[in-house]
Amino acid sequence: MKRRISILFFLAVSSLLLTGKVMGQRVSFGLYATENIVLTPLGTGALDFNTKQHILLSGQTVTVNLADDATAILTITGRLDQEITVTIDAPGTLDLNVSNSIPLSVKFAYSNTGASTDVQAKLSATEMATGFTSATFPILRRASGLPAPPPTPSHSGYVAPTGTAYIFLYGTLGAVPTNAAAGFYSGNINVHVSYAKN
Amino acid sequence: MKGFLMSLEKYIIATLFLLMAITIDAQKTTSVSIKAQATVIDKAEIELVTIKYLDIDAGMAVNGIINVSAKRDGQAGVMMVKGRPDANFRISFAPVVEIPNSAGKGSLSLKYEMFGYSSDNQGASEPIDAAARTLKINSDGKYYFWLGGLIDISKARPGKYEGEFTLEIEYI
Repeated sequence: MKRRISILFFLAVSSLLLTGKVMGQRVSFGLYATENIVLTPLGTGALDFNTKQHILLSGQTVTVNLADDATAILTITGRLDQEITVTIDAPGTLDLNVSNSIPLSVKFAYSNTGASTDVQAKLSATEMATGFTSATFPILRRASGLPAPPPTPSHSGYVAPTGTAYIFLYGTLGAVPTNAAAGFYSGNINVHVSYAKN
Repeated sequence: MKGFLMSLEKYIIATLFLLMAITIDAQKTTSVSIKAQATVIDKAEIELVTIKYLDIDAGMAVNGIINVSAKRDGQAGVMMVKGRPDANFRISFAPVVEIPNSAGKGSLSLKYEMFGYSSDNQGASEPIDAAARTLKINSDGKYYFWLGGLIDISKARPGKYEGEFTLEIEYI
């Protein structure tokens, strides 16, 4: 959460440097904020480490990689002419109760190549380095050529084109403490998506 | 000076508008929660013990084929499951594994053969296919597996081949 506030502050300062264009950007924010972004978990909607390793014992570490079936997958549907900022807010542990926890390290990747299936999307996904919790990218990556013109301002009867990007969540669980109690350990990874303020 | 102040005022107004706009936009963030989960099993509940490794030697080949019978051969690997007495469980494994040549190029394809029984009696063991199948630990908390395999070395490159067999077990 602290990380998101600092990014917003940076953007505000950067925009101030662009004298004369500040007001136009302000108007844009208001317009795009009315467009919805739809996040949809695919499959089980969970990052289940037992999918990678059925039997998990104390002392062991399980790593789910991007290529594994155990990755959690989300689709993001939103405006094609806007960049989006994805922020991952993951707990540092999976917990059974207050006295039993397992260290958790979450990574994520995104795919914005216009793939029609999650399988195709995974093959072209961009992995974020360990420790990164946020990324800004367009819903559809520009393949080549010049940058696209500015977004069409919203007006009566205009429906902005939309597209779908994919988010993959994976990571490492463990090592399971040697004194960890047997049971079902869980935690929630919150994924926040908004249009980037550029 | 006056001009500078007017200019500064413009900046201040712009700043206020920006922050206000960002605040509004932040409310439009879409969020979703993904569950991360894992079930940990107590070590005391289930344990897989390797009693004897599967020993494959090129000298055992007949017409370029090595065949270690899980049911009959002494070279078969032996594993034992230790767990809750009389508990049902199932296993899964990859029936075919590529074994890389650790001393050079190439690899060999090893087709595993698995037999199992509820006591240490290889001759009485029954075939177990790779598909998950329900088995039962005996009243002493044990179950035995014998591992053999079929491998064609007739076209193999010279070298040293080492692989491993992974057996996954879960209670039902």
